[in-house]
Amino acid sequence: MSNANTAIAANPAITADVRPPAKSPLGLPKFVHQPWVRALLALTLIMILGVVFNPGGTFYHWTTHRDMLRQVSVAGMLACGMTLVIITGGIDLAVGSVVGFTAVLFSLLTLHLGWSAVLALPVCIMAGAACGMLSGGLIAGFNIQPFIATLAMMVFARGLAKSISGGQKISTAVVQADGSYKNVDLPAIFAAIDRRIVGENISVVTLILLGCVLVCWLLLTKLRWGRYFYATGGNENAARLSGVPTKAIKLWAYGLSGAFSAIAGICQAAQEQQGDPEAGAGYELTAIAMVVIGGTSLAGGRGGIMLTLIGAFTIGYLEKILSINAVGESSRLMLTGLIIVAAVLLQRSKK
Amino acid sequence: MGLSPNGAPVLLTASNVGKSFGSVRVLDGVPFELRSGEVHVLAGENGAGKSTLIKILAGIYSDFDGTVDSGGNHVSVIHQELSLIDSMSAEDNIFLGREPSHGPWLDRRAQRVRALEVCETLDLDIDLTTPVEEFAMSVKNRIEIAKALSLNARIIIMDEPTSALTKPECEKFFDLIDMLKASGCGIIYISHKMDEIYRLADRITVLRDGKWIGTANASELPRGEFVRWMIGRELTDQYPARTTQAGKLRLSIKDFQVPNPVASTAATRPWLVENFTLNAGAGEIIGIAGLQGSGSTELFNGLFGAYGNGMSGTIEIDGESFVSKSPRASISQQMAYLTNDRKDTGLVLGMSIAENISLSSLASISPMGWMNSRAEIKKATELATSLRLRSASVQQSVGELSGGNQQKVVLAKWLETKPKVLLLDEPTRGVDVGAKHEIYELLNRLTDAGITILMISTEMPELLAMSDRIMVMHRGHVTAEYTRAEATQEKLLRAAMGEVAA
Repeated sequence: MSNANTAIAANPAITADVRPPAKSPLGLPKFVHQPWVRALLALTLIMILGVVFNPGGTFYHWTTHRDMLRQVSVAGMLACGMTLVIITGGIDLAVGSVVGFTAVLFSLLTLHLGWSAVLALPVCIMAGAACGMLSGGLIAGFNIQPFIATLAMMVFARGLAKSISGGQKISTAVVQADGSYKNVDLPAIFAAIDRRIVGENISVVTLILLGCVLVCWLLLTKLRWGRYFYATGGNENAARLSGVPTKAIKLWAYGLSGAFSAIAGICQAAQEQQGDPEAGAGYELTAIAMVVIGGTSLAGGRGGIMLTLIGAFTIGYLEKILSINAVGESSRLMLTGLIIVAAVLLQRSKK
Repeated sequence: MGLSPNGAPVLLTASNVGKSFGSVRVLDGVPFELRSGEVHVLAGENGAGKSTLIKILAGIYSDFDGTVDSGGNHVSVIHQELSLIDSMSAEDNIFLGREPSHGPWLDRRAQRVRALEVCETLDLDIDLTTPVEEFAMSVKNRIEIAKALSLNARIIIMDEPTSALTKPECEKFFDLIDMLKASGCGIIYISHKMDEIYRLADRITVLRDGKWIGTANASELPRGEFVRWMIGRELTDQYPARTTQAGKLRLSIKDFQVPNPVASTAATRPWLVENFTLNAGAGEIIGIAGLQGSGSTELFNGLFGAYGNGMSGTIEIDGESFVSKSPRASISQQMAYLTNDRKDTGLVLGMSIAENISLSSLASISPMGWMNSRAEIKKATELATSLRLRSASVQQSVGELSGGNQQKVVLAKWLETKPKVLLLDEPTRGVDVGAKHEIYELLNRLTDAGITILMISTEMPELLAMSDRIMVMHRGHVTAEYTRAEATQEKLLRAAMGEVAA
């Protein structure tokens, strides 16, 4: 078998104390059990589907991949925050609603109130973070279960979006005092976020997603606080008694999730050129699916942001392949459900 | 099935049992026999193959070498960690998975009748509709046995069943085992406690490194020989020599009180710990004895800030005022606390050895918040070496280690915080003989370095051997205090049961 096993067998002192490693059912080398290998395996299988079901060679066009990256970006940003929260052992159901709230807020500030982007961007991100910290505060301070607290925030933030928008989409057509409409110019920030650069090859939203991933990666792997995220999710009692500020960690996890949701909301508004109070509905489920397909454990304490990125690509390619094969909406949803289950089973086949 | 040489029917025979995981042979050519009416102790250090053998005997592993013949007798296993569902009632737990029923309909009346029958034989007088989480550990233990009996199990495997029981509870439990023996059950018993083994065992089988070392009648196996079988060498003494060496006053606790978090009613006490006062010098080990409900663990939780602020009384370390407000604050004031349950409150099992060791002292290896992984591995490796941790590397998952090595990891974590005062709650629970000895030697080294240790233990011999002074608690009060020379098991027990020393 693997080198590790022979090393153990050669040393009787260790044999007595080390539990036997899980046997690989297929006799595969040990690295196959690394979570990232499994995540890539799922992605590869999906890509093989793309090569097989490939009408007119569409899957070989660079634009297909570019568009996949673009389409996956907004939900991917949510999945970044979701990864942080899930690693601490929680869940954030409110991310989709916060997208709606911040999309409306950003549109209101920039289109109707004429705020400059320099001011509107930080205000929206802080508003999103505040929503997250409110959930986090309920969870850390009052011991409300994350599912319940963020479910409440999900409903509340959607209401907030409808309240500040008056239930209308906030677009460039601004209602005047006399009831007539006046069209305002779309601020440059909308176009800046929505455009593609490097010869129309890379979407700005994709770069924003990668920026979010980078921030999470630095936090989780390079910073002391990242270690605290894992410890809190791995064993909260032990972490607290070891001096880990578990309450603050939870507050931050949900706060960051809210901030990433706000960034996603701003991108969503820029892409739609308006603030739709219904924006982001159901995105929380896509984000959770991305995290889980990547292999981050819903039980907390295990996983990573790169896994989530792979998970996001897996979902992105799946949807892209279904759409280039003109699979209808109903079949698409059913197939997506099946493939999520298959991917998660693949992750787990170790046990 | 046949009869054994002494005429008792044989319940289970296993011969030449072996099992491998991958290329690692964890059990090899082991014979085992269980007779009706006997307690057969299965002994060996952690990792000797006891758990694997039990799993084979209980039918949990089906792919193994050799043969096991239990003659169709049902085998029940009672684990260290009980397998009861806390939120369900006692009777529902007893019949879980085989509820008396008519078709799909539960027959609650039949269940009650049968549960009462079983409980009566066990002398278990409880309200069967109460969720088991409301019962003490000793009662839960009996409920688990009731479950086994209701299955008509004739072979019962008990894996350290007394680890969470107090001394009087153990005695009652041993009576119960005698009763089970008398009724013709055979019991395979795993324990790390020498006295318990010799109190109960009819025969003893020892495993070491997956091999069968020997089986003998307990009355014919002297303790020294028994220990030699287990470890392959003779421990000259179970405890290292210890000389008292109280230095200058290090820890001073005056009138410390821990409030009861449960709203006070007539039935509850307003304080879990009352008027605890102690002056301890540098390098002293203060033992704390007490039975269930003595308040000793609550005292440690209170001192360490695990209950938050709201404690009363004053604490000083080296003359500086110490405030119990949170574990984080206590660590920065140089107090450390090894809890009595390393899986629940000591370790993050999914993390590596190094990550667990550094968890409480991350600031020292992450300047400006950025982790220095190389420094982390280096420090952890140094500590692991000095504590003689047996592992493949410090990057190995801590969940794969044996109990003794896991405990060393927890100790390493706390030593990394450079404590002046170390609180130890059951530091050798679930730790094998060899590692226990190493932990005792470590305590001596720590006190040589001036660390003051407060140690709770329910193992009296350990307390008597390692403490310089022993305080005995009963229902939140200190009822006696002895020096090592004065203390005896009898005195400690009497004080722990509430007799105030003259």
